Amino acid sequence: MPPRPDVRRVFRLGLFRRTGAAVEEEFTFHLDMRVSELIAQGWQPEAARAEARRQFGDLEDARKYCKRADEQRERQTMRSELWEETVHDVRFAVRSLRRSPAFTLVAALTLAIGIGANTAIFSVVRGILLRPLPFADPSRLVVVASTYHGPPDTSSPANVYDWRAQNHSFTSMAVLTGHSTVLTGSGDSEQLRGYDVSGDFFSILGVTALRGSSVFTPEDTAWKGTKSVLVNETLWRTRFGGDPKLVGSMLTFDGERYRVAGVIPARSAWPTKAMLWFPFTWDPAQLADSRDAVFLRTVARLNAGATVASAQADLSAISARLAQLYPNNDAYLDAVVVPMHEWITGSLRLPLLVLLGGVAFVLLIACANVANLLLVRGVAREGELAVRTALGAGRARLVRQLVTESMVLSLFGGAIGFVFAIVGTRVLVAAAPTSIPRLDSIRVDGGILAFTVAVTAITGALFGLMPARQMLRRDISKTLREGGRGVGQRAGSYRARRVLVVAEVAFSMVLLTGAGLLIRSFSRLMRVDPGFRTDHSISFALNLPEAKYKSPEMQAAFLRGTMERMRAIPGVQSAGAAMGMPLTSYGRSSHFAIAGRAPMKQSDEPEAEIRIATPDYFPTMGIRLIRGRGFTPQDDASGVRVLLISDATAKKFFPNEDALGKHVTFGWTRHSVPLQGDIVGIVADVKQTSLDVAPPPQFWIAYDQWPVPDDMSIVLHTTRDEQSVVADARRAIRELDPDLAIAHVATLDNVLAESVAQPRFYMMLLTAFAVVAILLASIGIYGVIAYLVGQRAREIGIRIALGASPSSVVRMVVNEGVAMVAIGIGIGIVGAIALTRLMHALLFNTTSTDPMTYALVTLVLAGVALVASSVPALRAANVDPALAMRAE
Amino acid sequence: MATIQVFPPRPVSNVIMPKSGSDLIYGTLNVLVLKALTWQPMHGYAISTWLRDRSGGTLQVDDAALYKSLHRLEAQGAIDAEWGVSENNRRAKYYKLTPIGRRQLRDERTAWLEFAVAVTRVLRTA
Repeated sequence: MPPRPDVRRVFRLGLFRRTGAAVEEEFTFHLDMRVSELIAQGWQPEAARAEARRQFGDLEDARKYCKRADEQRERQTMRSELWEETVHDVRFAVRSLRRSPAFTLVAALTLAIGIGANTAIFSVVRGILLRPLPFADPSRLVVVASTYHGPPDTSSPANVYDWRAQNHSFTSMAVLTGHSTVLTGSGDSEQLRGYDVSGDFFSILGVTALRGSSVFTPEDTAWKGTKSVLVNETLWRTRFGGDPKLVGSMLTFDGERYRVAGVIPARSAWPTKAMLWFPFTWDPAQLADSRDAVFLRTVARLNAGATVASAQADLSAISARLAQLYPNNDAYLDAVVVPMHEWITGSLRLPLLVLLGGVAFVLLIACANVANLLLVRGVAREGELAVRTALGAGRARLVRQLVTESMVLSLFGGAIGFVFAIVGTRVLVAAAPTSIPRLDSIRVDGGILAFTVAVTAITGALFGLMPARQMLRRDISKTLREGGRGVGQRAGSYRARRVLVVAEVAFSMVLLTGAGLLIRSFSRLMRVDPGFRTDHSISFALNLPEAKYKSPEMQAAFLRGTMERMRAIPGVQSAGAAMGMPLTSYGRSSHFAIAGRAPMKQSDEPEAEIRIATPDYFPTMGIRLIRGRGFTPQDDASGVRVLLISDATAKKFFPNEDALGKHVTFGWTRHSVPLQGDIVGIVADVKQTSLDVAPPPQFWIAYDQWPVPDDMSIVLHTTRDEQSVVADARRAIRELDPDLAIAHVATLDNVLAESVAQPRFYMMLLTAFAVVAILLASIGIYGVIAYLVGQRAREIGIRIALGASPSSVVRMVVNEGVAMVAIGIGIGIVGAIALTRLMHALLFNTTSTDPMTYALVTLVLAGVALVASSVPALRAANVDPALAMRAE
Repeated sequence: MATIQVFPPRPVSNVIMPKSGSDLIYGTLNVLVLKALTWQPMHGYAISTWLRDRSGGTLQVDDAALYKSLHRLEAQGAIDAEWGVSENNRRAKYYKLTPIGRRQLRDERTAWLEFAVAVTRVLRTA
């Protein structure tokens, strides 16, 4: 009576579609049976029906209940069946992949490269751009910068104090300004990066101290208050071995004693290079006069009611009032409010997104290649699939099975890719220029793993679906009739493979163009004359503590003695010193007035970059003297105050007259005496900020006439090995004063390289991606052409038998490849023009449509394609006609 | 002695709970249905008749409750349903015990008997 168990499955599916109907049928059967039973007992049909319903009870409730129970059961069954099928498919896929290890390995490695590269770049993007800053509620932190008709700049104490007092947007606002400091006692003297910060700086950031306190007391921040310092955890661990008693103890910086108030956790240290934080203090008596002392950076926390936009409006309004009140200095004052995260990472957004886009293209090409491989494999498996279809496997079921197979393959590739990514991320972080912020927050963790899994799944679907559909499109009866043998005339599959190759070439073209543009831009950047020679030169920083070297005279005397010692080092040809190194983003500027011209208010006066240098600095650095004379040792405190100006300054400010002999006065004063002097010479422009930025007006001051204690860079030009010279120099300085320390030791070649490290890094990465892309694409082209040759071996054999020359056969085959590549390049050029526009801001003196780059890239790609299709073509020409025809 | 935990004898999870409207407490009905099916696969109407006959008419099983119990047990996996042909040549849904159902019957039967003994003892002594 009941059907056999194995037939159940057939019925069940029907049951699910009509669970309602099934319940209905069951109940009707029951009622009918009851009615006939009652009639048999002598009931009238009408009454029997009513009685049967009565006995049944709440029919409606039972119906609803049973339907729900059935549906629930069906869903469970479906789920478990799906799971079983999936497990089966996965097993099947693993078996079938294992049967062709070469295919599996090539495909998985191709995918691993794509997935690994994407994951590595994504982990960089995530660490730098996506991860929140290591502060409490970091989205509420903003930076406020001054603008004076120009780019965002530092701010003056008076203006910051007014902003702080008058704004309605911030819970609090802190200032910071950096300087170098020398730690002495307890071991070697060491020059460290320190910052002067407001007392509540770390409480605004929401950073609590590891030990002690993270804030300064009012006594600390009072003018001439108690001297205290916060220490970076890194310094605490490396120099003091994590000594818990450090907090409360005294340390000597620049000859003065400071009490350690606390240890700041390294991950929340900001600015990241800061090792020490001192209380920022400012003489209240001088506050009013400080509007031209522009040197403070700020950080503020938005209060509950404020947004970045409202804070911007607030600060602009205050600045406009200040501009009216203090037109002499602040006539053009405005403020910009920028989220702190954007302030730190804003400049990295574009290059990182370009890299992410580039690496995504690599993955797309890898997908196309693997899809191509699957198509080849699919041809071989047609017989198997046809048999399975004939045995009743549904099309959807087979697609699922094929896609499961690509998923397994993708997962395999993804697993290897993740390992690649772990290694790759480490390499990236190690190779990345140190000027890129937040490298320390780049980690491969669960989030990155989730990204890899997602990319892997998308990848599997991407390269799996097309071949799966392609394989099933075929008429199965035909395949069966051919006995799985005659798969020669597969126009559909061949078209699909051509489309894939065209896509690969197009993607490669875009990527190669992007890389080409960066290379071209970079080579133009490297051709820029920095204005000084970099070979055989070494520089280091030296700071004189003002506590010890109190007067300018003492500073000048010490430096003079130092330079003599430097020159005495064997192998040192010449030695010079100047304030700040070129190309290190260091600058000190001042507005200036030229004697004999109509006076104007300070706000309207031009700004100039001021460099202070010893006479020997110019020959040591190879800075060319264009006119007049350079500094001499006679240009000292007793001599007439003299200046040198740069070529561009002369052209800009003295276009129709001789600059020599003109007197210039600066806004920079010392004991109310302004810096000033007569122009005695014109020297070549020196790129002070970076190679791609035209230098602002430059003035050179003779060191002996205006000595400064800090930020001095000493440069040695030497014929000897640089490292041993440095050792000698270090020893000489220590002998002169054991409390001094040199820092930032670097060859000028390195200084130059470091200044272009970021563009070089982006260029190298994108070029690496392009190389991988072109390799994958050429494998794709090779594969398709080789396949074509294989398919047409018989035809080629006949042609050769009929007397076709080998060269005509080669031409025929190569033409096939050239056609694909030409279409791909065409599409790629359109794509490149559209996409490389986005990277315009990364290019130096190069337009994104640079014809030369496009021409070269096309040539390279065409060349590679030609090689890739010639190899199988040459093989085709050697086809033995007899063999080829017998093979069928 | 007799504690709540025995009654209903088996916690029913992951199943739609019955609303009400049964003369029998549904846990009891479950065990009766399972018992009925130990003989052979049966359709709902046959089970209904079987229960009435076996209890000598004492157990007035509400048919609605019976079907709810059947579908619930099916969803639990205690019984399986198959379409078959009835004595009078009509399509009918036949239920049969699964191994899970057999185990459930054994457990619930024991629990029920213990419970009955306990209740009886209480009633006698009080």
